[in-house]
Amino acid sequence: MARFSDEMLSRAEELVALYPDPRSATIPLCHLAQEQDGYVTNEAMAHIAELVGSTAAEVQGTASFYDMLKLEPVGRYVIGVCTNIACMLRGAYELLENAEEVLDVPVGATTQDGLFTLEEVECIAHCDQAPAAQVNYRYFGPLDRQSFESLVSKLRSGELNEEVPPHGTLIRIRREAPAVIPMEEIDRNRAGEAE
Amino acid sequence: MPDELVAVTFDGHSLQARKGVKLIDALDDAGINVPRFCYHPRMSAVGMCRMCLVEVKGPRGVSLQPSCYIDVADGMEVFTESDAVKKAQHGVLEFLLANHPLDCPVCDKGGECPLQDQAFAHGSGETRFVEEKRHYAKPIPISRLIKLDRERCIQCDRCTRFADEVAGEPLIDFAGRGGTLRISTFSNVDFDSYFSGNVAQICPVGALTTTPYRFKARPWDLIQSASTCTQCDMGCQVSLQSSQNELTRMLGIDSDAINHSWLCDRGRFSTSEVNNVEHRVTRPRLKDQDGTVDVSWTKALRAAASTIKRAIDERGASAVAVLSGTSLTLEDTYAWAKLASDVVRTNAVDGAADVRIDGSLLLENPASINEALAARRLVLFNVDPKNELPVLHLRLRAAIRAGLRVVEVNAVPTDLTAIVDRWIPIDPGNLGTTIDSVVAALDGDLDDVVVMAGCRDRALGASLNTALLGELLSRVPRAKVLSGIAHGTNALAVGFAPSAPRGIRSISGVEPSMNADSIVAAALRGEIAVLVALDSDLMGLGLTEDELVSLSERTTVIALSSFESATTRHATIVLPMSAFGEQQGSTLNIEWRHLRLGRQVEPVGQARSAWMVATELASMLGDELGFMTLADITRELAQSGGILSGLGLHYFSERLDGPLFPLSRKEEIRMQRVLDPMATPGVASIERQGANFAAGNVVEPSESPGFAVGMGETPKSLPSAKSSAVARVIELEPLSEGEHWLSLVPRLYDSSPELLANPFLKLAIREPVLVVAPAVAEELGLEDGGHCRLVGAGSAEVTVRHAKDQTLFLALHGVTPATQQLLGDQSWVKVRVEKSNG
Amino acid sequence: MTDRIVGARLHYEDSQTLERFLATGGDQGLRKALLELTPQEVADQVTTANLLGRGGAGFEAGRKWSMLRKAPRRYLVINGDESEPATFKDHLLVENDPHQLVEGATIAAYAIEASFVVIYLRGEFALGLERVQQAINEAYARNALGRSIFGSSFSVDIVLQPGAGAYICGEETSLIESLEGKRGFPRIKPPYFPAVIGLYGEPTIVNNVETVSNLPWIVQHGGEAFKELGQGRSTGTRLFALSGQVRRPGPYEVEMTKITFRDLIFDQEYGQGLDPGRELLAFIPGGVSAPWFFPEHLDIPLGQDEVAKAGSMLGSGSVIVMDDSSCPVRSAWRIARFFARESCGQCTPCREGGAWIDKILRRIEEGEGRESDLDLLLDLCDNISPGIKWPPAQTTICVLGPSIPPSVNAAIQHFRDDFLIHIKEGRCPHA
Repeated sequence: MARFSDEMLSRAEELVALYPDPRSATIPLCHLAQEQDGYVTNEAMAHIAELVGSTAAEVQGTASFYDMLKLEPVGRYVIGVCTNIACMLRGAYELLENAEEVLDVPVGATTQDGLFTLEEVECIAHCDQAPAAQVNYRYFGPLDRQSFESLVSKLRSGELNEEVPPHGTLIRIRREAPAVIPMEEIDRNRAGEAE
Repeated sequence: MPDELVAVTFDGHSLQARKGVKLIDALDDAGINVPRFCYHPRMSAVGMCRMCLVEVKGPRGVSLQPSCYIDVADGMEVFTESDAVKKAQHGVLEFLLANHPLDCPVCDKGGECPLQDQAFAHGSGETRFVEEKRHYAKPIPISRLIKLDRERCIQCDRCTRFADEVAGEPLIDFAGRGGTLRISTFSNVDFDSYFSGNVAQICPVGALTTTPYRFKARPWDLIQSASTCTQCDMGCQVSLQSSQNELTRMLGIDSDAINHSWLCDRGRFSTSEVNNVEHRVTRPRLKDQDGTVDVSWTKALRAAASTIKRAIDERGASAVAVLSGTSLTLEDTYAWAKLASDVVRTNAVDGAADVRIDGSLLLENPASINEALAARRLVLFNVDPKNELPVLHLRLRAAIRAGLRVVEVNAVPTDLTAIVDRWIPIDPGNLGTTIDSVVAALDGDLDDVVVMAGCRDRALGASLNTALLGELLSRVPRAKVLSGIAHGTNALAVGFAPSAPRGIRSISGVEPSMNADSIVAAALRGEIAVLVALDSDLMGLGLTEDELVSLSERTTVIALSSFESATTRHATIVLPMSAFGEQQGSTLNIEWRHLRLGRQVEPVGQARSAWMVATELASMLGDELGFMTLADITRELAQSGGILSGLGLHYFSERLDGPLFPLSRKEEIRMQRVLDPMATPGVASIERQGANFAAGNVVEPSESPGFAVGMGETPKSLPSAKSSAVARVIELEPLSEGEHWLSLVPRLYDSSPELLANPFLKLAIREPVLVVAPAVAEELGLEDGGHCRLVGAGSAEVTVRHAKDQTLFLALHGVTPATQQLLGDQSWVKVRVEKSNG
Repeated sequence: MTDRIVGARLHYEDSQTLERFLATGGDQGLRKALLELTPQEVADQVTTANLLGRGGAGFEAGRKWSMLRKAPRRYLVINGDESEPATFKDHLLVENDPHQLVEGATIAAYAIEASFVVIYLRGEFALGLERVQQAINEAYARNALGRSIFGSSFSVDIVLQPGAGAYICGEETSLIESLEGKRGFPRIKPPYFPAVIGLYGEPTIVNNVETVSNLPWIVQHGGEAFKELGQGRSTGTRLFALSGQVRRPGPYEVEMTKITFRDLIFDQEYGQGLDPGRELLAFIPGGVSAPWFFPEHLDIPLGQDEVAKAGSMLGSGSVIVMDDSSCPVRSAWRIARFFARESCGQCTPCREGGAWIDKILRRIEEGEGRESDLDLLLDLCDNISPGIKWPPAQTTICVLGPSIPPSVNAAIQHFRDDFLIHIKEGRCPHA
């Protein structure tokens, strides 16, 4: 739990190579760090700073700006109940209270077994299925107490393992493409066409 | 290029304004003050605080615009007093105060706080904010020197912008978002920067304070004067402040020519060592067979005079040697130069012990700092501004950002290397091509070149350094030169060192011809009867303490010193010298600019100025130096016919800093502007208290009688150093088996008696580190973090660090008594590497 | 069916697959663009179509492209950071027709001769991210991306970038900052457009997901055909996201200006009306930044200018319905709270004002309000957005701050009595 493992490092280097400026890989690398450790550790931020050529303070500045990047440990499943207007109008706060009771933790906390962290989140763009919730950014809705309980027990039993990977794993499809074309080549091509 | 003026209308008045400047500056020029928090004239505008909103008429009617962010354009119509503007400003102020704690009575910033001032001037007096304010743990030490109070912070981005943009060390940054946006360092890593104190100075509230000043004083209790920081010869302009006869703090003043309001921490916090009486020499004392006894000044001076007289009588004047350190004022330096030359008549004098370059090369065609930064090309030759002249590093960074093209010539890289145009390594194995490479890097652009020349690398001997520079200057004949000498400019200017420029001396007597190294060597051979160490620790000249002890048995060491050191411990006669802030006078900076020194507190104990000691010694030796006051010295220098002809003190009543020397008719001497009080809060306080550093009119040299004396004659009289002294073919004896070229370079916090006296900065002292490229490390079997022993003239035990961007050198960072043991009198020092004993 | 363009494939269960995509006209727009048209001709079609940006501001896409500063290197960024509350059209498109998005992005890249394309998707769209990455992979595999696409002389790469949870990154300059690895602080204007100074300081076009998803159709059928749909400046179709207290919330693609809000909310084909016994309290026509509409506005057509004329905006195309069981104080608070949480914190009025308004509204909602709070709220709004007018003026750097006042103002102006009952009686009349 720390810096990138060898395998993650090679993925990190692939990501850095995609961009004209390595710093652009900062957020993708933070996601990668979460995939490795479940959250973005200090060691990972320091490592990311080395890889993209910024300081650890800057990586921390960026990471701490974004809700999805966790700088403290979270549960295997981060459940975000949306309470924004569209969900609120369809009972989101009632759902949130139910979620607190079902999980037996207040919003913002992680269950004792380390399995669930409960969050109240802003609109997740699932409004036609309101009230909705996300589990590790996989969407569910509309939910009432009963369907929420059933969701939680399926997560516990592993029934949803395929659909909902552990927190931090975001994109399971790897980029499969030739190395990006050097931009100078494209610039030059265009110049050639113009002539 | 002269500023283009355009017609604008400010609050209904038709005016001319400089096109393209920030509107807020144009409004300032017009005498219209718009409140502001985030804007700082020495940093890029960010328009974040929204305090400076004004109404600007555009194609779609008037709209509120941040005056700090938009540029003045032709025909611009601006309203700063409209109801909409007042409402918006009032609204922003209320928002800023909403979460701001009401702790002004216990806040260090209270009394000089822009937010407090604005709240008093424009606040409503009653708060409509009845909610719970934000709370944070506080204060948080973000370094040894800086504490952060997040509740007071108004998120203006000044500190973070400074760290990123000015210092190039983004070690503090915002964290979080929205209402929880806050300043943060990374985890537990310090804001470890040479320049950290600036963030406290530019903080517009009390969010960032310096540990040494915390709760020390209230701004309205401080008395202050304009002075010059003398930690190096950059000459940063400062407001020196004290309370109850103790120095409390130093703030940078925005001198356009010099420091742009910035200071380095070494300078800013140097007041702490002056205040540390434990480490100060406070009374004269003598050592005799019974041990050391405190004595009166008269007795001590008599003892010194009789020792010197006996030495002259018995062994000749050359048996009396004078070595000087770094912090003597111009007047002190001149007095001692005259004493040595005209009264003692010794040639064993070196007042610029650290200068290993022929000063003639520095003065032949001098450039100012601003000229250097505006040149088409700047060559940095054997200097490391960050470690030697720190604030110049900031000026260089800003200039490089603005397009300055720099060619850096150094044996090992510096912190500028990554951003300069070209880096030319000095390769001792192939010196012949070094200068060729430099000239080639100029791309034939030889007309507007400034060479900044120094002697950073201690492993490079004076003659070789001079030869390389001479070769460069002869290949770029129109190049101007800016001195990169961190210490000793005063000594060079009055001819108080063998390295001083030839022909500038105004003193008629004996010229210095033995340098510090040869004086020390002679002393070790028993050839020196009396060695006067002027504010100078002999251990800093490569003596071990054992050598110092044995030397002091054969030689009478007279130490005139502000701080205790190994030298004062072993000296026969110890005389207390006043320190920075305790004495009046003046000094010269690297561009030979005359700058004043303020006396802000009484000297500790019985300490006296060095010039007074010289005057009294002269009279006890039966001679007279011819002056009784500082003004007498100034007058003598002014009429001397040396490069300081025209020197005066009168200009300081009208301007922050003095003129460049030697004076020339052509040179336009511009007044320095005192920046807006928001940018440098300390200045506002000074003005409020009526201290005398007013912004005044431009002084034309020709109109000032003091400048007319001796003008036009001095520069021509200097012999050309380029045409003499220079060896064109430079080759070093190659390495033998097992030998390596060494590079020995200073760091800002290398141990010295003064630094050890500083309770805050001494914590920054680090052991010397040998930085090596991984390939070299592998070849020599040196592990990262391991130790090894270097063997040269002497030997030294050092820690090893691997660095990817390192050259093939053994780069030893840290000039200490131990590492200086390695140096001999070679042109370039070679060492062998041995496995560590430890 | 002529009124389905971007959503034409959505009724297929397997709309996200390459097979379905290719079987239903996929790649044809791109092939035509690359093999038959010059970049300028593609841009001309888009200008003819008068395709308005679908992200919220409604700026003409063709005109945006034409403002691109002349420089050898240009960037195209597809904005899929859809986070505006109650907006879920892009979410639908990236999950269910990722190939169309990639094709559209490639056409846009060709039209502006981009050197490099980034599709920046909201980080929470995990499934969408996987499907778009899959679509990109498959595009490379069939030479619809990369070097010499479909044998033409055009080469370009598309990189998929996940966001990480910050509403403000939907603002185009903030998105660019985020893409540069920084926190999402919007850039201060001027320069006003990334087309002048954008990603890495180079000219950059930022187009919304739905906007570019229209391009394959426009290239295939021509700008004129697109323009024939809708009327006036509102051409083509739009995906409206209907949410809140209607019986059938959902995405509905309709020809612009051809139906009214009444149709959208009440028609059987769309929202199917309110729950039995409920009356319409208010609705928001274009995302929570927009001033609210009331029953008297129901007959306004779904058109850009029509809505603007009535004092609000069509914005991101999300229509939020509130019936009389909802509390307008609570709705205003929840919207204000959203903006307070999502303020980037860069400039004072939004950072401090948003948080303050959130706290006051919450206090009122919890029965702890004071009568003076209403004037205070309006004055704080005025200090963020002087005059609380529409379109808004601002004391802020970007428009996030000025998005707070419309809801607060609408609620206080139209439901003052509800506020007073909360304040004086400590209860909610709708509870």
